[in-house]
Amino acid sequence: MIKNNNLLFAALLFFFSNILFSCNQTEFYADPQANGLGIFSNTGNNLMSGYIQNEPWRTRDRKTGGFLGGPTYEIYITKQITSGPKDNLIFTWYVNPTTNNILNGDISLVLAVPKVFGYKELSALKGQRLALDTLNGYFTFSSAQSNFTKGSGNIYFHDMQIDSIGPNNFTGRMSGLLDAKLGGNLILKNGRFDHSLTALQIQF
Amino acid sequence: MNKIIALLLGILFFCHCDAQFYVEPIVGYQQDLNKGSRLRQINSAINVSWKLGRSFELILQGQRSWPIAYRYSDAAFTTNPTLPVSVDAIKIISPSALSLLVGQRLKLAGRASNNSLFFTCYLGVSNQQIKVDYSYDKTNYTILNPDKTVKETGFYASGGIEYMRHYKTGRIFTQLLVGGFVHEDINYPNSFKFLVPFSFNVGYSVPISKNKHDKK
Repeated sequence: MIKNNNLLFAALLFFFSNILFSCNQTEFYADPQANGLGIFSNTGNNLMSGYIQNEPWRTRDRKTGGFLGGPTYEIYITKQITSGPKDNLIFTWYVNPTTNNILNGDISLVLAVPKVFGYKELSALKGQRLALDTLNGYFTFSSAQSNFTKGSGNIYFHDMQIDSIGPNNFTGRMSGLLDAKLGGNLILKNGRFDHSLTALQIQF
Repeated sequence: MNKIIALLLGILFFCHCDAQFYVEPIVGYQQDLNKGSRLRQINSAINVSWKLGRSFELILQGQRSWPIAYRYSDAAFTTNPTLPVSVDAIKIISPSALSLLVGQRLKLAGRASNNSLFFTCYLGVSNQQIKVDYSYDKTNYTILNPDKTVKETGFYASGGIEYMRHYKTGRIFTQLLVGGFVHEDINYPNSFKFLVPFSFNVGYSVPISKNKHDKK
């Protein structure tokens, strides 16, 4: 009887701890070749990192929701409807705040896509390397000090896969490399990203 | 670490000073048993063995595993539009180990002949290093899922079967052993784990002093 009570207590503790507290779903494995950055991986580490002005910049941790707050994601993919012939596909990476205020900004990639572009078409980016000259696409850096200047850059999608798991429900993954001029004097170098994706992150 | 070494020395101190003992140089080859692994090593060791009875020997072993470097093909990528998107990279993995072990031989068969079969096992401390080197254009390219050098010290155990043939001048033996860390994990997504070596060794047992136990 006592043993059963202990088991019940342990199960309840586990249950409520999961409800109350969120879990970290980001894995940071330091790159031995790039001090302060995570490795370039395609295993779902849920992280983007790179150097901005030679200082390490990384995305915030992904956390599951708990009683004390909803989930947080390090990346969202949205589509902006425009009045022009094409819409904007926007990838936004959210910063993990640091003491260096210059680095405390979010990085966005904006690509012009056809009006009919849906989430299933994201898979077409797999294996593509894009050179963005601000006309066919651009990067921005949004912070208190930044004024959202369009910047040129390059991005390589090593992986981009969306797998349907039900009506309007899917999972996915993306990984790759990027470098960019983020506007002003800010330069992003050695960027690498690796994310698992859920329907909550792809908002179109 | 110092406590462990002191414990090993303490065990040896309590061995009978008048017991027959042997010095045994050993060489061998070992292959990692982890799934999909091709890592191999040259094994070398020196044993000091005390014969404490007709069927039992206590062993102190210093062991060194020398790396056989293995080359893997890998891939590195770049965003630079003036360069090919990917290039081949060479990854070289070199596993090595240094161990101090206490072991025992238990005779399973061959009491009345010149040929004996033993169960042999060792337990002690081992320092393993698996070194990783990459060769590619590190200025312009980034390696995908890179491995990293790992180094760990921990408890190590091994065991297996040993065949021994007795001669007037000494003993020749061969061993088949399987070993590994008792509990050590690599906290990094490397393509390899700490080795679980399956080793084939050959050794020669040189008698240093004789006593009543040294008949077979």
